[in-house]
Amino acid sequence: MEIEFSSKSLLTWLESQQNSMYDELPFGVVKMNKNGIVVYYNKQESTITGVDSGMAVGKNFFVQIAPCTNNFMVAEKYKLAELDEELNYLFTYVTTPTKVKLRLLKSAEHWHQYMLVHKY
Amino acid sequence: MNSTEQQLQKMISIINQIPTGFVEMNTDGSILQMNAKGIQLLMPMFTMLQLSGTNMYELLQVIAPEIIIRIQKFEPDSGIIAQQENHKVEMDMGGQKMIRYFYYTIYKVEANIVSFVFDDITELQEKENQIREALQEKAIEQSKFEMASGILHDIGNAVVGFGAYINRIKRHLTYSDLNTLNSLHGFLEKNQQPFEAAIGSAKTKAMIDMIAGIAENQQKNAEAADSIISEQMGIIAHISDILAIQRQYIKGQQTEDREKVNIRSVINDSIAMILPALTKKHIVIQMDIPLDLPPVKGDKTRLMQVFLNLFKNASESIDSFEHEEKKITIIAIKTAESVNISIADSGYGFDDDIANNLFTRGFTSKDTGSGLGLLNCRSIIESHQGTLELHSDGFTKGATALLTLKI
Repeated sequence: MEIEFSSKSLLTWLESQQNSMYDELPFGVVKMNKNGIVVYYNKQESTITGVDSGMAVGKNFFVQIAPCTNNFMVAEKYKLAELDEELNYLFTYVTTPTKVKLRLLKSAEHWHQYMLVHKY
Repeated sequence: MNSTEQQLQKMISIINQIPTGFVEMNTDGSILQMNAKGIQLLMPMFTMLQLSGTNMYELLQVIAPEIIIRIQKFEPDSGIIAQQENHKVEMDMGGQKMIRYFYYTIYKVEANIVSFVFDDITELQEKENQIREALQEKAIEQSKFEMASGILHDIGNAVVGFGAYINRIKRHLTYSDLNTLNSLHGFLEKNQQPFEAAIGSAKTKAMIDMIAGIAENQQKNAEAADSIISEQMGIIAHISDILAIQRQYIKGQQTEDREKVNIRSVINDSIAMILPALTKKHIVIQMDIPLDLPPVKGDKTRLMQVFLNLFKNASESIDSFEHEEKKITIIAIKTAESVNISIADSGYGFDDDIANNLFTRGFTSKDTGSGLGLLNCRSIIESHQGTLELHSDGFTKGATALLTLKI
């Protein structure tokens, strides 16, 4: 099965997989609980942001890992019960601005929420 | 990685995470480095203005073009271009005007490199604005009181002048004309016979009667003028009283230095003052005032004025019609915030029509009332942050005054 950044059924797929499977994906995956606490931070994501996966897990993503997303464009969006939105954004690889495409995913029927990151 | 490099990495990641926006850019505006907070603050603006997000000048051109000019005009190779300055940004956000306040420091690091440190201080600024507005309102309120105080003072002076003028009229109203007429009348009566011999008895009688009539008229006029003047003097006294109370009220607003007053002793003193009149009217006083009634902050003299007025009203009302049990019952209780006093009389009472007008300026149900007494009482009580109400179940049913005074 070919999994793409914009696949419609991505959320369902992510929920059905083991965390280690995310490391095979060509884009970054941040898996959080619904309070924004990081559950899994895949390899690709570490490469884009320079943040070590072990350091990220257990922390609040929007506050402690990526404060750059802590505004109405990203963090606020996760207050919605249902969310599937793509947007262009900037990340910092440490302090170097990096253009990224984000996909924000959340659904009332699933336990976790996700942020997918694609460098372009 | 050696330890210096590790230190450096650590430092950089701290800079990335510090809760203040940081941007390093070229003097042409292109962004070299930016920390997380910087993106958090700037990204929404880049997106809204549909900018690439790679050049600061694109953004500054829209929100603060003067900053670009300052950077370009800054000639030295390094130095502070702007130090903790504030800037208000107004942006149109989907038809809604958005106002944000930023503070920023701009530092030229080397010939081509400029660092930009900034933060969004909108919430702080709004709080400050609110505080400023509140202070302004307070100042306006204060100046209102000062103005009212000035006006009251002026009216007070005018009233005193008017009183003096009326006094002068009263002094001028001598009875000299009347006295002359009376002596003329006496003279004519004494010399009735020669006059009768000269002009006949009918004419003499008519003349004497006429003089007597004029004297009598004059007497009546003088008495009427006298009573009108007395009335005017009474009204002036009332106006002075009201002014004094209003001034007291304003003073009360301006300062909180009122003394503690023992209500029990104020009531006792008031009763002592009118006791002879009450005894004469066979009115019995019943009192239930706890010894440990807490003191209230207030003006003892003014409060006594209120109680005296209320007792006077009660006794006049009791005396206004025939009935068996003539008494005034005074009960005081304390609550958590106030002292509550009820003064019930067995007097005539009032109906709803009168009840609605009790505190109307100039309204009176008494034959000789001025319609200012209860109004004064209420002003005094309200200046003590208290309340005064009057209740009656109707004519012949008596009345009760209810007072609350804040502790």
